[in-house]
Amino acid sequence: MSVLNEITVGEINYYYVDNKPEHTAPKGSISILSHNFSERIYINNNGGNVWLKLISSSYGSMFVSDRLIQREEDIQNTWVSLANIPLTSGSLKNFIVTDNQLIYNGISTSKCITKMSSTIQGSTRSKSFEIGIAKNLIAPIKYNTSFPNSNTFQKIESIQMDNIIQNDNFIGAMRWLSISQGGGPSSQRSYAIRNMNIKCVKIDESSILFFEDWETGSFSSHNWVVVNDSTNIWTIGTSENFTSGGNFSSYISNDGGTSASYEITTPNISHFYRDFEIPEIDGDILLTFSWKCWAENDTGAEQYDYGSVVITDTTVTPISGTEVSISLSTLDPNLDPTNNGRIGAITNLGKFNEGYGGPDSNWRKETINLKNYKGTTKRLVFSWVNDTSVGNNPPFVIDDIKIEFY
Amino acid sequence: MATTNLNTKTIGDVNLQSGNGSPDHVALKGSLYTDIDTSTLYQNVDGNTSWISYNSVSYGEGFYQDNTSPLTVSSQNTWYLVPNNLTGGSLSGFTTTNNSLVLNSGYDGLYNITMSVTIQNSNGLGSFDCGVSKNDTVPQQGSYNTGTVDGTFIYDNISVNFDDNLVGGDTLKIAVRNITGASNIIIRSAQLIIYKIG
Repeated sequence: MSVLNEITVGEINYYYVDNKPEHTAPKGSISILSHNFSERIYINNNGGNVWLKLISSSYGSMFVSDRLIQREEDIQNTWVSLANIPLTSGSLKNFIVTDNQLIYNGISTSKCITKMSSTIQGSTRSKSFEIGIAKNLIAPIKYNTSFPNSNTFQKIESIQMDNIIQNDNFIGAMRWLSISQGGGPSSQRSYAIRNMNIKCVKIDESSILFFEDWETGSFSSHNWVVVNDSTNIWTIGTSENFTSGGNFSSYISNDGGTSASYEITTPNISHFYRDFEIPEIDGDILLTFSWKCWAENDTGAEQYDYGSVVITDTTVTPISGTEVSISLSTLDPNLDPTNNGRIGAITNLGKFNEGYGGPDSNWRKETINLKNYKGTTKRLVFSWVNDTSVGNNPPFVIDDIKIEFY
Repeated sequence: MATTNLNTKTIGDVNLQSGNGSPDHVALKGSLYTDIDTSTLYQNVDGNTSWISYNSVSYGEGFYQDNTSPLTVSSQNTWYLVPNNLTGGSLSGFTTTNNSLVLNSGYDGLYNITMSVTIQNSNGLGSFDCGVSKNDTVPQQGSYNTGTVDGTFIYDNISVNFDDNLVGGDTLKIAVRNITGASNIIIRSAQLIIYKIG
């Protein structure tokens, strides 16, 4: 980090810096950072070298009150989204409410606190309930429990922090654990969500360390190494593009890049990869990218056509026709990867295809927290796999790969 | 607090200013003012005395889920620290150490603190206060709430949200007391989230 310019106003200084500030300055001093990817303002918090990032505000909320509709949910220990509860928009800035989901539509990758408060009304045979917040329809990992008495009301809250990117969504989720007085008719096991409020507040924004939008038209310009198989190969072309104002993306093609398409009867495994030094810094480090892939899915880790993203050691050299890993990296309690293996698409065994996104050609975004690899240099491998039959275009398409930090 | 010790430099159509206290003075629209006392940056929005503040970033998250071990309660109305280790979530300016969130040196400020826990019946009826202990002292008024469990309705959720000034080295832990007897309690799940607001 270098101070490029400074002025003094009374007891404080204003600095123009070329990286995250680390220098000692009077308390309250301001550092303004501007480089290729990010613009940030920091304020000195202690008269030493502790600088806090300044951010703009984003928030959103949705709610429902005084519902009297009873509903049933008879699958014990199974999380269900509360998608059928009509919610009203509250205050919104860089959020929208659609289909009873609170959706982030801000540009920057951000960290937010999401809180859900609810009142449950029990019925004749009361149950214990767990309430949590599902991000992108993945079952909550942080939740709380309550047990409303017969026909009375019980409040349950849950709170969590999440990294969010554009189009990430939040929705209430619930599961019931037990019944107090045996089974009985289903009408006696029903319950009502009387009130519910979900609120999200941004508390941090990321800065970008690395950005690949393929607009150079070359893998090698940013040191990617390509290992292609015979027919379905990684290419950079204009058939697909996600970058705002851009033209290019990388994708699997069997026609020299004219289209994102693959030969379904020729089994192929192709890769591109490069090494990244994961810095030892405070806070999360995120890998984000945009992707699309229909292909073909089934329950096994190698079934059948899919993209994958693997993190591994720099001594591992991908070869065509062979997967680098067919196992998900071990996940920590926050569901973040911890070791070598497939990363992302965790609900589909690390396979990016219709089984994770959907049977369509829509763009989606993925966020993977690399905080458990801080201080190491790892190899990031993007792979394509297909078998000998059945499949749907598009195959794996990738754009706007970012490494971001807080 | 009113602005005192105001220093100003003018650049084009705005002022760069610093002083002590939250601003209430007139400045050019778009001017920046730094409150040295709290390290808070403000911007004038009307060319008069209206200012908005920017949020500075510091936060910590700790949680655990589905604990089944009871906490021993020997006396009614006595606070006990919940010993269960917290898993660190997102941390910037905080660290997790065993059952506590600890603010790092240099990150002093006003923080919003939210605790949400599930209490579970262990050996009988009871009403419990659950709250946040700072530096192993008993939770202060406004930093705890109450829930009740018995042999049938075995779970309850207790949540509390409050603001507190923290300095580097401060530790925050979850604490509980039985206000109706001396029965044990299980703190089944817990979330503790803190972020800087001033």
